[in-house]
Amino acid sequence: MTAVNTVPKSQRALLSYSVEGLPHREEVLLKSLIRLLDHRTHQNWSWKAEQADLRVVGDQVALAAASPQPAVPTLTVAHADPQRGPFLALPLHTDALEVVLNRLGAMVVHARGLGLAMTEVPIGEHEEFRMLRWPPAAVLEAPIRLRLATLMSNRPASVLSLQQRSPATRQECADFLADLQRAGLLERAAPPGALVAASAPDSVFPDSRFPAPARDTVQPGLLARIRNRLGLLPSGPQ
Amino acid sequence: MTVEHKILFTGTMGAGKTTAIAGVSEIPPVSTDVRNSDTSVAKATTTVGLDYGELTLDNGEKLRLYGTPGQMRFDFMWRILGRGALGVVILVDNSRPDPLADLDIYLDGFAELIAQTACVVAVGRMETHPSPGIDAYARRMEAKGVVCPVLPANVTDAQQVVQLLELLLLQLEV
Repeated sequence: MTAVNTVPKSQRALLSYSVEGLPHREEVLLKSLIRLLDHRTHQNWSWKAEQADLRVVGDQVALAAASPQPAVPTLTVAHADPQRGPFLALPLHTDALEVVLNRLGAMVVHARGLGLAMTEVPIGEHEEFRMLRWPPAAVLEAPIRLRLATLMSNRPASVLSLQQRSPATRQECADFLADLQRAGLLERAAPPGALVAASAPDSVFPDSRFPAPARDTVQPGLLARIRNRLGLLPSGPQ
Repeated sequence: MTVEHKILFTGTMGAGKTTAIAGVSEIPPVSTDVRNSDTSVAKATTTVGLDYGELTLDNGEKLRLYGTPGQMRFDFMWRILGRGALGVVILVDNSRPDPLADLDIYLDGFAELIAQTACVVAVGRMETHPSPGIDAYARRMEAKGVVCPVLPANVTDAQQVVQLLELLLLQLEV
């Protein structure tokens, strides 16, 4: 087993993995172990339904794959090695899992550097994005990021609008959006009035094909007065 | 006429609504506690009506802090209290048997308010009950189309309550 990871979380690459064709019990165990190993792995791994940096597949999926996708490494988790690339034997062991995650993670990070892996589309400063989910702790390591995520939680934002609404620098805002994109938590905002294509399966909104209702506006100056009363430092334009 | 504003604190019995309000209110919170007859929860008293605290703003206006009754049988009061509120802080107790199901109750119960204003989810007792983790909450909220701050919090620390309110206010900025 490798030593405890001393690289700060904020400096670790954010990578994602998807799981296909594993028995439910093994999938749950795998996800739990990856979370438990978070303080040891060289990259920060989070689960993603699809289009992840790493595909973790069961033996049937591995055998059915006609041709591997070159840009996405595939890790087969099974009792027997199908001799088709990276393999992890069942039952799962944390030591072996840690080693293989670090090896494949380094490969993905290296491939990104060479422009070979699935790279994210560059983010324009004026381009507006919607945050799909509250981000994991690894993305929110710096305190300013808690603020940026909150500002994005109920409306789309661009690099410039985040910068205008927070004390963060333009680079901090751009890095934050880039990390969200890498974690699969960002989508381009639909133009005003457009229907939202994907709907949450159990949305609290009456008809989730439509964007959430417009937020109530608050009385001018109210937020500053509340902050003043709570002893909070003035922040951003009201 | 005095202009009034309000923020709600909601959550299960024992999640800390009364404590959170007491941490920031300028008056001793007014509570309608009675002896707890629910033996599944180790509390001597519980709130059956509501908690109330307030802050006076520098122009004389009042910010009223309401703690809703936790039990679902009082959900008719949630709607009444929610009218005109600036937002809601949902307090979840991670030591309960199914805290994600608890969260669902309040996301559904305050759906209209959350959609129109602001919401923060604060998860308590994570130091002793780390599972489910914050990401599990975020995914549960995503499934309901809700994206708002969700973070561990100890509402016995008034500064943490202030931080929750700041996250609520940030969402209301234009």
